[in-house]
Amino acid sequence: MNMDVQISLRGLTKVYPQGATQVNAVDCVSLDVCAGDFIVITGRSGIGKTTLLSLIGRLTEPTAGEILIDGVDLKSLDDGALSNFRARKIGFVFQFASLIPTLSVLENIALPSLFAGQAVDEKRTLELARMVGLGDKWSSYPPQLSGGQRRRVAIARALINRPAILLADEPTGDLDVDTEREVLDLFRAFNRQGMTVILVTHNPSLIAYGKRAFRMEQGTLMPDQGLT
Amino acid sequence: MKLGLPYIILQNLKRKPYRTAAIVLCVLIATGVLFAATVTMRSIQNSLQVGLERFGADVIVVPRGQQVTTQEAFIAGQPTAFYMDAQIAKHAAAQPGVGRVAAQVFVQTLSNAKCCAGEFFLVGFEPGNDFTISPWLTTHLHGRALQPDEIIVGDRILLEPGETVIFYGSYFKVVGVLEPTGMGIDRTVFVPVEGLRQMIAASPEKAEQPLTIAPNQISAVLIKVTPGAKPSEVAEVIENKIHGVQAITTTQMIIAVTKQFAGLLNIILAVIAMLWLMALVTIALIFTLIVNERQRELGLLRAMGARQGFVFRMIVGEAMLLTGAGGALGLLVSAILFYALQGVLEQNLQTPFLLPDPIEAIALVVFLLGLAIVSGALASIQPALRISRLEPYEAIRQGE
Repeated sequence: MNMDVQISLRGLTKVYPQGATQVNAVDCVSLDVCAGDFIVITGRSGIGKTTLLSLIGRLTEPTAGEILIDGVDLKSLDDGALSNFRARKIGFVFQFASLIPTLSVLENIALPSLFAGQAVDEKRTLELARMVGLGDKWSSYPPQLSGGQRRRVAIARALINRPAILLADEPTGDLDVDTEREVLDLFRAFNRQGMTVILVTHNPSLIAYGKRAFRMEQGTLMPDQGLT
Repeated sequence: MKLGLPYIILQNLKRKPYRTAAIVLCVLIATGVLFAATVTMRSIQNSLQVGLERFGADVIVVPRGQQVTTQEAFIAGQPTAFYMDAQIAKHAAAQPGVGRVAAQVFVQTLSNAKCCAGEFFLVGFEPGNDFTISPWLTTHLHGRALQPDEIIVGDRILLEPGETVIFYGSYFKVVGVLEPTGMGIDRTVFVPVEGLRQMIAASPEKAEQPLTIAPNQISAVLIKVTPGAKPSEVAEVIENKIHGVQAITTTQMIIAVTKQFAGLLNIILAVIAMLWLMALVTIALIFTLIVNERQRELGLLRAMGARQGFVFRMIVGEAMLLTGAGGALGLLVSAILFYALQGVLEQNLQTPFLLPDPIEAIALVVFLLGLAIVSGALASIQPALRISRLEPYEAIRQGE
């Protein structure tokens, strides 16, 4: 494993107002993630896993703390630089069907290229579609696909710009066992090629796929003794 | 692969065809009505301007109190009759700034009488002095003087050269039809004043109702001012110097007629303003709904690396494309309907029409199209700003 710290979270906190009180969705989380790491974070629903992932991808601003990726404090980036960072550096796989319904499978996969300011590489787009088992569905539209097929399109899309970091939020939530294994094997394969993977799930059995595992409780992150 | 902002916008619009069609229809109606109303008003103004220019006179002197009937006669060809002393023409000619002077005698013919072909506006003109009909005679009749029993008719009078027509028991032969002007001339019958006097003299014997117009009476004096003289100043001098007359400038006539339409114009403008406001509010509401409905999707785009500007341009672009398409279709439909129904409009408004020239029409089309597109941008700017500034995670969360 490359031991260079790629992602550094320092006292990361996200507080949401809830009526008169406040809820610490993420409570003073500190973590170093090295390039090529595969981290699995488990915990029950609503415990702050998605918020933590969104903070790492800087989809939301932390209430306190800092996020450094490759030594760059994400707080210092303006919208243009931050968007470019997201497009080039990070691949997101969300827990819900996250495709644009008016774009075909191929167009959905290629979409992040547009935001990274790159020309659409049709060959790579098709390769990714084939890799996730949708080589024959490339011209279909999301409403014509099953839940599992949509999820696979979202995974291919997350990989189009060859991101260094893959953030996956319950990526196998609505998949059958076989497809779940296929998707996780894909993640493992990408991780072996050097991609850092952070996967959050409610399913403790998935920690077997990671190199390190953490459990999230009440907004805090603690090592999962099962693996770490 | 044609992936890009315009392509994504087009795909988004295809998503809800009925909603897209509804917005396009909304803008179509607003733009179409605005185009039709503007063209109508401009056509009326153009017609007055061009018609009065062709008419040749700068000032018209009539008996005091006859301004409105004179306007109706000259602009709409409404038959009228009023008289004053013929000496007024001589007095007017003597005033400073007065160039050419031509007297006219107006006669209103009878409707439902055997001695008359119908109700017409007859204008007796002096072939020697006239500058309204004479240029036409020079071109079309090779300078041949009209015989007392020969007449020239306006374009809207359904008589052909060679036909004979009866007025107050006297027969006249049509020898020419004037080109259309969009003015009262189109509904006027021009008779040499000698022929008109003969008709008047014979009317007690030949007509069901005799004409009682003295030989020393005229109806109007048409004046062309000398180069450099201001018609308004000449008119003022005439009114001051000659008792019992009213000197109307052609500009005054245009203003007076335009004022007649001011009420109608104001109503039209109010309706248009309301239509635009309604269209704007409707589009703004629809785009607020669209943005709310697609909030998660827009948050996702940001998560994938779309900049705030991309999301903003996408929303505003959709609105501008919709309103632009609605505007273009509205202009097209309105233009087709306007040209098809022009005659009906002319009849109902009882006013002449002269469509704007191509440059003016193109300028109007460009302006209205621009207005439609800008309206789209204005209507969508708030929801577009709101969603583009929202944190991607918040957009995704709120959109769930």
